[in-house]
Amino acid sequence: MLEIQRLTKYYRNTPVVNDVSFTVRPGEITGYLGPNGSGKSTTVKIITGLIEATSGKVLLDGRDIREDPMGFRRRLGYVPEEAILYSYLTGLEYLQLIGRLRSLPPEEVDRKADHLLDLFLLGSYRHAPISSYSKGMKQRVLISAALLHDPDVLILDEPLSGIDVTSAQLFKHLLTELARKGKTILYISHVLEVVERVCAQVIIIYKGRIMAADSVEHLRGLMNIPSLEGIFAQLVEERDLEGVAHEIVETIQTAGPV
Amino acid sequence: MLLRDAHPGYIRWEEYEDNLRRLRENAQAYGEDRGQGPAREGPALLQGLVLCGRCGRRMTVRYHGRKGRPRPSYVCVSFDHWIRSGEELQYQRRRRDRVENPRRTPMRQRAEVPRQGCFHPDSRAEGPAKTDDKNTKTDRLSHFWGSGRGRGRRSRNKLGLHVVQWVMSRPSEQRRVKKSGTLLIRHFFGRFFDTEALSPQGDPQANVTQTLGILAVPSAFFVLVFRPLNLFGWSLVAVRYIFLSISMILMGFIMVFEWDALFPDRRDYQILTPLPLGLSHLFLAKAAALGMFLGIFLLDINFFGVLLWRAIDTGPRPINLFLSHVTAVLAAGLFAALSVAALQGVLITILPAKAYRRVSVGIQTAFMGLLVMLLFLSPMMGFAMERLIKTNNPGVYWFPGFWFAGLYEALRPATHNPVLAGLGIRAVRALAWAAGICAATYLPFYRRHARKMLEAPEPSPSGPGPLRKGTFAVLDRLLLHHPVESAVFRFIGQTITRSMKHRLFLATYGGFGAAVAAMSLGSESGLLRLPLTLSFVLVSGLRAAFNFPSELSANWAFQVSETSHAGPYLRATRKWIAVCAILPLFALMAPMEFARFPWKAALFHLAFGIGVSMILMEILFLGFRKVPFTCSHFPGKINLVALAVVYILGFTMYSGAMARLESWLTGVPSAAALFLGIAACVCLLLNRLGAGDAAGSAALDYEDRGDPVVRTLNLSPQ
Repeated sequence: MLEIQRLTKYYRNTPVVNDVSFTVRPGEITGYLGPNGSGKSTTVKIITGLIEATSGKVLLDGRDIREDPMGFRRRLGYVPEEAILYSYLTGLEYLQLIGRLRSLPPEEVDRKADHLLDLFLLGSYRHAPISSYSKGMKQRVLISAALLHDPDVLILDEPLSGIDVTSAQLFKHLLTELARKGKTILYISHVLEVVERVCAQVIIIYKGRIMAADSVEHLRGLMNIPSLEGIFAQLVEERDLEGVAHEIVETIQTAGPV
Repeated sequence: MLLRDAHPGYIRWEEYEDNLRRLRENAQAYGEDRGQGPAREGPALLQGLVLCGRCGRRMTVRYHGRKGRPRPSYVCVSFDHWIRSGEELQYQRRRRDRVENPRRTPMRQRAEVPRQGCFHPDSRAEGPAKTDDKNTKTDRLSHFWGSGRGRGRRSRNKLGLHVVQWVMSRPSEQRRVKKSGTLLIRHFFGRFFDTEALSPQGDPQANVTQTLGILAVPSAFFVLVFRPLNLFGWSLVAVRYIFLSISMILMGFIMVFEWDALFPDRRDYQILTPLPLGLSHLFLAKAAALGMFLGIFLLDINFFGVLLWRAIDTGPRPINLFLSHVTAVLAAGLFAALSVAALQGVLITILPAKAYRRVSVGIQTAFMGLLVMLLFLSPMMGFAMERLIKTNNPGVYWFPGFWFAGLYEALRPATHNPVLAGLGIRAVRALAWAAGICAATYLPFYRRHARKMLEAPEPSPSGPGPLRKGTFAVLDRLLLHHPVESAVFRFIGQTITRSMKHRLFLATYGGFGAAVAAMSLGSESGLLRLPLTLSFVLVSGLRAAFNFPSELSANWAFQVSETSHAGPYLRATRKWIAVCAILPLFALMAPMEFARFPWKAALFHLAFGIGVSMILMEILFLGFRKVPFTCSHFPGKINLVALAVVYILGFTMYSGAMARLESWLTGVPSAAALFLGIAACVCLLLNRLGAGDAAGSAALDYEDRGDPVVRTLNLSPQ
C-alpha cells in the first residue's frame, strides 16, 4: 500500500502541493486528476524521488521510502509525463539499458525486451533510433521500460498521450490485468472517460489541494452529478470555455490595426 | 391583477425592478457586457467600472497573492493589457497599449475593433496588418494556450513563434512574400546558432556574439605576437601563411559545426512545409542566410588581421598591401568553406541516404581532428615553407594552404620566388572548382534532400552484427560482472559514437594529440614520450567529455532506475576507458614500438605505458562520482588556471619524467619488474579508493552544484 501523508512542496514561496494525503491500495487503480498546473506531476515526482518534498512523507507498506530509496525504486515502475528518452539509442537498446540498470540478469532483460517490443507492435522498429519514433511509439517504449522488472508499484503519468486507439484499448486491458495481479497503480490522466471506466477511486487535486478522494460511484451519488466530467467541472473552477473559444476565433479573424 | 403602490412598501416599484434586473445579471457570469457579471469578493474598488482604453470593453479583475495579501489587476480579456493595482492605481504600459479613462476613449478607437457579429471577412483586404497587430495577436494566441509560462524555452520554440508571426502577416500578397522572405532568412540565420554543438545550453541568441568574439581573437593575438618583429622575405611569407591558415581553419571549423545545418533539417521541413511557401522560396531564404552567415564570419575572423596588418608588413604602397591581404585571406577562408560544402554536396549526390549519414559522421569527426592538428602545426608549417619550396618537395603542390600563400605572393611579391608565385594559380583554380561543385550539387539535390527528410523512417530490421554481439558477450562474461556495469559500459560507447557534440569534442583532443605526435616524431626521446603524451591527452579528453551532459533531461531514467550503490557505475567508467581507449591506443602504438626497438624493450615500453596510463586514469577520476553524460554541467565553473597547470605539468613533467624513467628501467630488468608490480598495486589501491564498494556507498551526482550566487570567505564557524 502506498500512502501519501501531508505532502507539501513549495516553489519559492508558492505552495504547489499543499498538505496532500491519500492512499493507493494494492489491487486497484487510483485515478489522480486535476487541470494543468494543479500539482499532479509534482506529487508524482516527489513520490518517485526526482524532487524532494518540503514536508510530509510517502510510505510504502508502512515504511518511509526515504529509509530505503533503492529498495523502493526496485519495486517502482514509472511512466513520466513527457516522453523524454535518449533519442540516439534504439528502442531495444533503451530497454536493455533500463533493465540492466535495474540489475536484472542480461539474458532476462534481452528476452523480456524483445518480447515486450513485439507485443507493443514495435518489433520491426527495435533497431531504429528513438529519434525517428512518433510520440505514441515513444510512449509505448516508456510503458515497456516501466513494466520490464515486474514492479509492485506503478505510477503512470499521462501514459496514453499520443497513443493510437488500438494501443489505448490494449493499455486499458493491461491496467485491469495488472490490478488483478495485485499491483498498486496510481494513474494520472486527463482522459476522464478512461479514468471513469478503470479506476476504483479517484483523487481530484486543484491548486495543490485535494478536492475529492473517493470512488466514482460514491462521488456521483454524493454530488448528484451523473458523470465524472460533471463532477470534475464542478470541483475545479475552470474558465468559461465557450467564451474563451469564442475569443480565439475572434482573435484569428481580426485583421487590420486594432 | 397588479395594483401598483396600493400599500406602503419597503421599496419602490422601480427599486424592485432594478433588483430583479441585477439578480438576473448576477445569475449569468458571461453576459453581453462582461462587466455586468456577479461581483467577486476582494478589495478591488474599480471592479466593473474600468473600461479598456483600446477596445472599450469592461475589464475584469484578477487577483495575485503577494506577501499573503491579494493584489488585484484589471485585465482586458481581449487584449491582455492590464493595470496593476497597488496602494494606488498604477498604469502599466504594455507595448503601445494604454489604458485611459474609458469615458474619454474616442469612439473611433472603439469602433476599430470588430465586435462579435459585425466582423466581415472582406475587411482583411483593407490593408496590410501592422507588425504591432501581428505581435499582439501572437501574444494573445499564446496567452490563450497558456504558453506564456515557458519563457525559458523561448529559443527552442522560436520557430513556432516565427511561424505564428508569419501566418499573421497575411494581407498584401507582395508585401507578404517580401516580409516572410526576410523573416525566413532571419529564421534560418538564427538556426545556424541553434545547433547542439554550438549552443549546448540552448541559448542561441547569446551564442552569436560569443562565437563572433571568440573567432575574432586568434588573428588579433597573432598580430600582437608578430608586431615587434621586423619581417621580410621568407619570414614575412611564413607569417602571411599563419594568417591565411587561421582564416581557412576557422572557416573550416564553422562549416564542420554547421555540417547538418547546410540544408534545412527535418524540423524546418515539418513546420515550414504546411505553410503556403514554395520550396524555391525556402531554398532562396536558406541560401541567402548561408551566404550572410559565411560572409559575417569571414569578415569577423579576419577583422583584426586586416585592420592591424600594417603593423606587421611595413612595406610601401599601403593600399596595394591592404588589398592583397584582404583578397588573399578572404579567398582562403572562402575556399575552405566552399570546399567543405562541395564535399558534402558530392557525398549527398553519390551516396544513398543511409550511407551518407554514416560517412558524414566519419568525415565530420576527421575534419575536426585535422583542423585542430593544422591549427597547432601552422606556425611550424609556415616557417618550413622556405625549405620545402627550395627542396622542391611535392607536398607544396598538394596542400591548399601553400596555394593561397602563392596567391598572396603573386599579388604582392615578398620573396620573388617563381615556384611560390606559381602556386597562386592553383589557388584561383581551386576556388573556382569548389564554387562550381557547390553550385552544381547544392541546387539540384535540394529537392531530393527535402523529399528524403520528410519520408517516414523505415523500419530497420538489421541489428548489431555478430562481431559486435560476440564482443559484448565476451566482455559481459569476462569483465562486466554486474548488470549495471554492462549497462553503463554500453551507454558510454553509444553516446560517444552517436552524439555529435561529444564526437567533435573528442576529435579536438585527437587533433591536438596528432599535432603533438607529428612534432615529436623526429627524436628517440620524442618517440618514448609520444605514447605517454597521447594517453595523457586521451584520458584527460575523456574526463572532460564525460562531464558534458548528453540529452540531460533524459537522465531521469538513470535516477529512477538507480537500484544499486555507486560502485558498479564508477567501475564501468574505468573499465570503458581501459578497454576502449587505453588498450586500443597502445595497440596502435605496438607496430611502431616493435619496428624501432628490440622486442623485449618494445614489450616493456607497452606495459609501462599501459601501467602509467591506468594510474593516471585512476588519479584523474578519483572524484568523479557520476554516470558519464548524465550530470548537468556549468562550463563557467572550469578553473582555467588549474586546467592550464595540469596540462603544462602533463606535457612537461609527466611525459618527460616518465620517458626518462622508462628509458632507465629498460636497462635494469629487475627494477622494471618491480616497477610494474608497484604500478599494479597503486592502481588497485586507487581503484578501491575511487570506485570500490566503500567509496560507492554514497549517491551519484546528477546535478552540478555550480558556483554559489554569493561567494563567502567561509570565515564564519559552521
